[in-house]
Amino acid sequence: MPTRLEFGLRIFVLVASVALLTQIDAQTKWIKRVEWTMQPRLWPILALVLMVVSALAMCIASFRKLRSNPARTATAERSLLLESWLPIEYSLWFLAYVYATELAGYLLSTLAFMLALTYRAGFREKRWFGWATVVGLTVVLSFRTALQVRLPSGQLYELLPAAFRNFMITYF
Amino acid sequence: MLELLLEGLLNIARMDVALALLIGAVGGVIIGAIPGVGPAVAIAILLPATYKLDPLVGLTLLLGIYGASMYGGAIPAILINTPGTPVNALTTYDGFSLTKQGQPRRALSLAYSASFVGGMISIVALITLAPNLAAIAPYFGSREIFLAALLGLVLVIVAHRNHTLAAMFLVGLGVFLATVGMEPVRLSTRFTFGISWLRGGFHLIPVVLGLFAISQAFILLIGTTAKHQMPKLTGSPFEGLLEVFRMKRVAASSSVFGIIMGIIPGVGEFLAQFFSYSLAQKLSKTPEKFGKGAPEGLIASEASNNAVPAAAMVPLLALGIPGEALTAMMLSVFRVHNLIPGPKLFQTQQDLVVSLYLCLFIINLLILVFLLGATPLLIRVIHVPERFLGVTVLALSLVGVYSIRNQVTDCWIATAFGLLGYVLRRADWPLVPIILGIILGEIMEEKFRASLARVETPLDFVTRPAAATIASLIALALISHAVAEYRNWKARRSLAPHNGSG
Repeated sequence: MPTRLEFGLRIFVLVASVALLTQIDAQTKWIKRVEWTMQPRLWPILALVLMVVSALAMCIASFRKLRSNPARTATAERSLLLESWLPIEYSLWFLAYVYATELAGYLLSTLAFMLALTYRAGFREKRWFGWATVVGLTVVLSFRTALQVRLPSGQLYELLPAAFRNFMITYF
Repeated sequence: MLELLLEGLLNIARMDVALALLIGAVGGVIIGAIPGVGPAVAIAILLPATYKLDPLVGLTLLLGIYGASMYGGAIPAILINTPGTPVNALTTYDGFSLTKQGQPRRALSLAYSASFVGGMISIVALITLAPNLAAIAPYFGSREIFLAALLGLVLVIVAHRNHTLAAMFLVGLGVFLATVGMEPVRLSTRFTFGISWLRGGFHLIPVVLGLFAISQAFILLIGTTAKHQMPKLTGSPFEGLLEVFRMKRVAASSSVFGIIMGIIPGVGEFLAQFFSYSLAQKLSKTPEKFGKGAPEGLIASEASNNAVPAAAMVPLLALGIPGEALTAMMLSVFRVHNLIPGPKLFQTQQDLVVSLYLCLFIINLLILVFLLGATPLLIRVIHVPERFLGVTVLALSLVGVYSIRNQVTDCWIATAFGLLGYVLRRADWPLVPIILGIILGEIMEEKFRASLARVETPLDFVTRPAAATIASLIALALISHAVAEYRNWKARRSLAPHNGSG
């Protein structure tokens, strides 16, 4: 990571740690007539102090590095910042998949997710959609059908005839 | 001992264990052979599915993936100069050089046989050590376990040489995350900010899945759609297989390093590999060939990293202290089945422990046979483009996260930790300290409180021999780290004016 972005990250973690430490009074209790070693506040405060001290030391080290080597790496910084949108976009894809599972059930949502994300990831040839379908089906058959992993049944299943609905709820 | 072995054999002579052995061994090799996936991602995804299984079956499956992935990781390291798992990094030095010299088959079979020797030696050592571990059980109380957990945290910080401060911060973050939610003794909430679902704290699985699987999926999705170029495999798969026995000293010393490093919490495969490789180079008659296709270098790297998985189970089984992320995940399998790893496990569940070691033994045999026959087929999985792998990993992550409690909030938590993991990976900060901070932080708080009933002064913490030994190890780790840092600082300072004048 370019030095300036690394410095920014370190400043961010320092600010976040300090912000959490300032909340210690509001977010934890100090119980009267109980020794400090048994206080519920003890371990959060130890952890936060460790975070603040190490984040501060990282900021100082990063600042020194930045001062001794002020070379700008604007291109690298820009490309990394531009690229940082992608994980956010893919997070939204993942969350959409979660909600789609609740709505359409695991089988349909997995197949739709695999096909749509394969397209989004840049695969436009038919064989990749074939592979996406195979992988999606394998995942569903392995985890839901064979291993019977607990996943919510889709609301769409309610529209199916009773016998078929039970089958879908049990296996897909 | 013989009786225990027989009991263990009877325990594992079941269809479900046999299937777990097969799936673990084959699946682990495939996962290891795909660059960018790795055992942490696979174990994080499979973890909730194993909760429903018998503990022996679940643990065998996970151990199979853990051990087998390192064998598989050698394949892309040797053929395309890309380690399948991070711990195969040093394998690229001599493995890929041998491939460039037209000897990929020899390099692969050398790696397989060295891995096999490392794995087997570590299992033999552990079967021998197991009864001795049971013998120390009465000496381990709350104080000792608290100190052992502290030792784990100290070691995970000092082991990250170039990222000590980042590791310290992330250990702190892990310990902090472990405290969020309802505090168990006084029943007061901590850092819940009035959010009701935070009262139960952070469940380990969404955090692990987010940090390891989802963040890795993001990295893969940003990667390339291109296929890797593969060299042609010629020659016999057995070429070089017995060569490892001509370099017995390198194989044995590297395996011993792997065992020692595996047993020490927080250290793991990286240091084992590094030390073994350096030692093999020092002892070699042709040290100049290291990095240019030296068989000893390849053997040192593979034997040491494959000796670690079995050894890493020692602190987990003997003390209930996981030494790294993968055994930390396995700890949750024990907990789900109300099995408490620790000294008592060797007294009350010795048959389970012996069965696990026997399973490790069989896994190593299965992997070797599978690899010798299936390497040409396995090479095809290396062809899978990174982005398609990213799509698959993200789809699989949902099973892992959603199946724990069927809660959408878990998916949000996993996504948030996925983004955090992505940033940390980009900044080259280690992820393991967070997981160890969460697991060991919880153990430390519990054991610290339990031990307070028996101590009057802080010195009472270290009056018992086992506690004093662990405390000395903590002091030794901190002092040696401080000395190393001081030496580095002095070396940098002595170079500074020279650079300045230049």
